[in-house]
Amino acid sequence: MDNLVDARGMGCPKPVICTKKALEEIKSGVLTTIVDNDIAKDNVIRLANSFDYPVEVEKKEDNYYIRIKKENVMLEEIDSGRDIAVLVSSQYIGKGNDELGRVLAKSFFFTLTETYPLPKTIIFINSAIILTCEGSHVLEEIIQLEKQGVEILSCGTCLDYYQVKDKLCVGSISNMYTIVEKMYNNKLISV
Amino acid sequence: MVDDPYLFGQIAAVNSLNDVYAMGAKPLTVMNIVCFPNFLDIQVLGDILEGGCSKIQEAGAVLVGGHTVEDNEPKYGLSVTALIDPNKIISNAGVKPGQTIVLTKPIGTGIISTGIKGNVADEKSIKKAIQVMTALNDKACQVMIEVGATACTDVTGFGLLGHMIEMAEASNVTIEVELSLVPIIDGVIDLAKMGIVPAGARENLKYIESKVKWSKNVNEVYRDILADPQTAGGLLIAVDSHRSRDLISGLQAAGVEGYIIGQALEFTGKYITVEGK
Repeated sequence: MDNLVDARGMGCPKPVICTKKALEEIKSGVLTTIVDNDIAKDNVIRLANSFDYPVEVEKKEDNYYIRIKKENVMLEEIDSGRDIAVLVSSQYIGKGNDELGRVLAKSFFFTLTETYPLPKTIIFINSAIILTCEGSHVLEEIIQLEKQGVEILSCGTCLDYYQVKDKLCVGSISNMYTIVEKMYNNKLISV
Repeated sequence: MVDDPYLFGQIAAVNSLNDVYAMGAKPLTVMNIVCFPNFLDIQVLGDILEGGCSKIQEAGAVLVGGHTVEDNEPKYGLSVTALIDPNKIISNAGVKPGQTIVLTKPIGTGIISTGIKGNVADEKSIKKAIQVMTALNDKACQVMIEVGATACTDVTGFGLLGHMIEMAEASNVTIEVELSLVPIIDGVIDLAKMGIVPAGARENLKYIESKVKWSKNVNEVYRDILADPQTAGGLLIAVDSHRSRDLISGLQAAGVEGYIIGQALEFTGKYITVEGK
């Protein structure tokens, strides 16, 4: 038995929203959405097209039966995952030996430049802001990340505390409000 | 459209007040017009009116009274009386071939409102849409008068193209729009691609279809966006080309967005031509 969304009698954007939800709930397979007007039909087809799912439309009396085949489960799950934010809270990666932490930082940011998907945002707080300032040994990697579209944020209070605000070389200065918002809205990875 | 009654009041008031700015006038007095159900908390009505009042004050107008009617859902608007020298009214009929067409707000608020209803619009887009919908066109109006704009209308329910067609028809010209120059709120294209488009956009498209010449690479997603019904949209202004720079820089100086989106031509048989990216 196919999955079914009966969107007859629904106004925009409900047919699309209900179809989208139903598609998210099934892992794969066929979903049929029934609509009773052209606008809803066009919009539901467009939704399916935006995911590259094959669509067939059949007109029965005054209704359209839109059959959507959900495929590529793996790809879909990766792409639909939330954006990633990385919180860096120290100039050294990990606790223990600082010299080792410094080397790890280099290798961490280099690896990040080659990772897919890239994080959307990297947040630097406390002593980590040293890394975005003049003289940082990972500046090259962080600039590279920014070039690739990653948002680089350094905590303003921290820059003030370490008195290096004028030495910031990459990204922008941020505040706790924005930082907390990023933490909430993204999948957060802390290092 | 929005759930916050104060914001709702602000947006409704701006939508009403902006009508007079589109003619180059200055609002003097306003009356509240309210429909409100008796089952809702009266505080909601208080918040709506307070939101409206904040914009009336910002516009420098005076609230002189109003009417309230009981109804099933809350509705709010203003009856606005404005002042203008009859010889200086800026109508939508004064577009001349060769002029530059300028828009003062990005479009897409209808699509974002639809996205809000479906719970799929992101915070950033919502924020921007609210900023757009709560902005009076008073400063834009002032600047357009200063640089000698010859025609103007405000972009609302018929969408950018719908209102542009009215201008072109009234002036008997063709307006050529450059799609890549049209400002679109971030997130709108993604929503439109998923089919999150208000029914009104399609109705607008149906209505304007025969009057628009689309270049081949303007796909249906962009057609929907150009026909998306706007709430409290920006001014659509025609100005002599040599003054267009002054208009844009004047708008910027007044803290208003300003975008050159096309030009007027001698009438070619279609009122609008849309050039693709």
